[in-house]
Amino acid sequence: MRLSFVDQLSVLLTVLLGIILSTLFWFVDVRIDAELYGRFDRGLQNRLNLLADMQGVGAGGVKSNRLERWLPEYAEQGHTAFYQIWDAQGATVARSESSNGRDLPAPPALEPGAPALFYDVVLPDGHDGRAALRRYALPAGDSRGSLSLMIAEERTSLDALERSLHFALLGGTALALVLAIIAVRWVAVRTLAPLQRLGEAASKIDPDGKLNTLEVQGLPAELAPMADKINVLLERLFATIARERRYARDLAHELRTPMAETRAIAEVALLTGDHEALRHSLTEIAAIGAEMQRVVETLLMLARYEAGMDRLIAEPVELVALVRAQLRRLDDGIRGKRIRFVLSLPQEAWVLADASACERILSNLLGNAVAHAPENSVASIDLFDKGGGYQLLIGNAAPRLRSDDMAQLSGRFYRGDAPPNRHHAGLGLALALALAKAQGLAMQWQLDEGLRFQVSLRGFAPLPD
Amino acid sequence: MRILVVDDSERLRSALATGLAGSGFAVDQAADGGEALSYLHSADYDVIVLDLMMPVIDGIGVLREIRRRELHCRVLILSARDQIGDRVQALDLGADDYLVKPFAFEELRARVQALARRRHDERAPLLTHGKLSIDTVAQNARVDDEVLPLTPKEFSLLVLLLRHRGRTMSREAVFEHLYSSESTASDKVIEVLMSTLRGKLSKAGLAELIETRRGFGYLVN
Repeated sequence: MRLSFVDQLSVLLTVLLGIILSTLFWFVDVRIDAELYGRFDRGLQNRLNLLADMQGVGAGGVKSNRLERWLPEYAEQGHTAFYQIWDAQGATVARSESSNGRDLPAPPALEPGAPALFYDVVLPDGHDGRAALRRYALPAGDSRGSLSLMIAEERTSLDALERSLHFALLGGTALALVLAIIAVRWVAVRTLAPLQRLGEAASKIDPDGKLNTLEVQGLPAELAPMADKINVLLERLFATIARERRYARDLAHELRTPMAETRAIAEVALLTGDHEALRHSLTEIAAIGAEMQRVVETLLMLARYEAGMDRLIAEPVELVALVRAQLRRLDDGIRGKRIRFVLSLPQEAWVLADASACERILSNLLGNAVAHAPENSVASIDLFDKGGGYQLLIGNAAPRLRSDDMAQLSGRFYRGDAPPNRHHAGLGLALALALAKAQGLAMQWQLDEGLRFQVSLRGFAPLPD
Repeated sequence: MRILVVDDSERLRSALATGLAGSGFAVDQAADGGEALSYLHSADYDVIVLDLMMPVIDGIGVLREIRRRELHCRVLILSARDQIGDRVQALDLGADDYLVKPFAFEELRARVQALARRRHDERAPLLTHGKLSIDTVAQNARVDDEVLPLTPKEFSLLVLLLRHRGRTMSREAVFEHLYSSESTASDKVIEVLMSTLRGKLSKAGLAELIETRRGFGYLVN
């Protein structure tokens, strides 16, 4: 299961606070216990000293004072305080009346004069108690050897106090932990709310639907730049998706039509069964296949140049010779439409460029001029150098073009209102533009008011001196 | 039945025209929307096979004009556009059918025939008159289960008269239904066609099926 940020933060902070509060609880509990028992033991010590003095144990003998007269808690009715004195042989020398003749537990071995020993014992009445023990040396020659004085007091009230303090501390810690969990959750939810809103908005983005950008207003300073950047990327992504869909649709159309032609021609020819019709149909189908191949190859070339897969090689190229060679190649079309080309070319124009790319650009631009210029019209080619390198201008009459077409001319398969002709699939200008860009040339076009289309190519690198 | 094929691909137009003419349809061809509207202005078509992406006026423009003029012809869209949105738009604008390129010619022919039948409110592709029955899909005519050996034009003529049963059809109207605009034949060819058809019907015992109303035309009651 994938936890949310709020859940992760809540769990982490709760565990951390739990550890801190538990440690605090343990420390305070230990300190309270130590203080309570320390105080109790100090009280026992004082009482032990008092009893030793009063009984004369420290002075080497046991007085026959009846202590119970001054300390009634040791009297017969008492049941919370006890004392007992043993000699070195373990024989009882004296005991409190409250013991009612019963012994306190026998004392452990202790060196005479050693500091008092404190430990828990079971009292003569069976209750839990705490005892203080000290051993006193007797003068040499005293047959008793030494005297051990033990006093013991019931610790029920001390245990009850410790328990109540323990529960209060535990309850306080638990309450603090619960309040901390609630506070942590509230803070986490509140702090991460903008992130959650951003996530929800992002999850609603449908790549197949309309572009919905993320709301940047109200986002914290840490998230706003991220949302801004995502919005920019989304806009680019949607534009790319739209362009790719349009391209795929156009490509499908460009290939489906010849496929439909091929199939229809073949099926109809088979229906008629006429030998001559079959022969004619096969010729048509071969021509359609060649046209489809040309479209696919041009598209692949375009894709390779746009993706930078084909590297262009700069070398000395003479543009005038290239222009004249392309005009010779198009001579049949030029003569067929009786187009007159007005040339303004220098003797030679050497530049540093990719020769085959330049040849392809010129082939496409001049081919378009011949294909789209009306019959008996005038076309022009100007090549000049005004100091910033050579610039090429190709102009022709274009009565079918509108100014609206200018922005779309470099789009793939765009033909405007030109009659369908798969020798010109609407890829030439797109390919020429890609080739020009690939070698750093600037290509622009415009339609003047006299419906004359002009394309310019500039930025040719001069030959090095 | 008269068909108008509108497509900017000259090759496809020609192939369709040849194939449909071979099935007994009279086929006219238009290269763009403007030319198609001119044809629609001058003749009455049973079915129009219409491409969508065309220069001058596109298929959608032609479809809108057909419905604006309230023409009763059936429209089959034949397009490379295969998106649902394209189909929905065309059908919403009044197209009767939609076929995506590339397609099987036999399917196109069957759809054209189905649309032609719908135009004449026929649910089944079977026309009957007494002991004569005509299957417009199999393209055969039978008299008492005996197949009549008819040419495509004779078959089309017989179907036309049966579809307009009870109505006199002039020679010009019959010619317009059976021959395309580009046909070089004159409407006198209908008399020849009628004569050969009557001869075959007569041999099958149906000599009186087609009446001639002098000065008006032909009638099947």
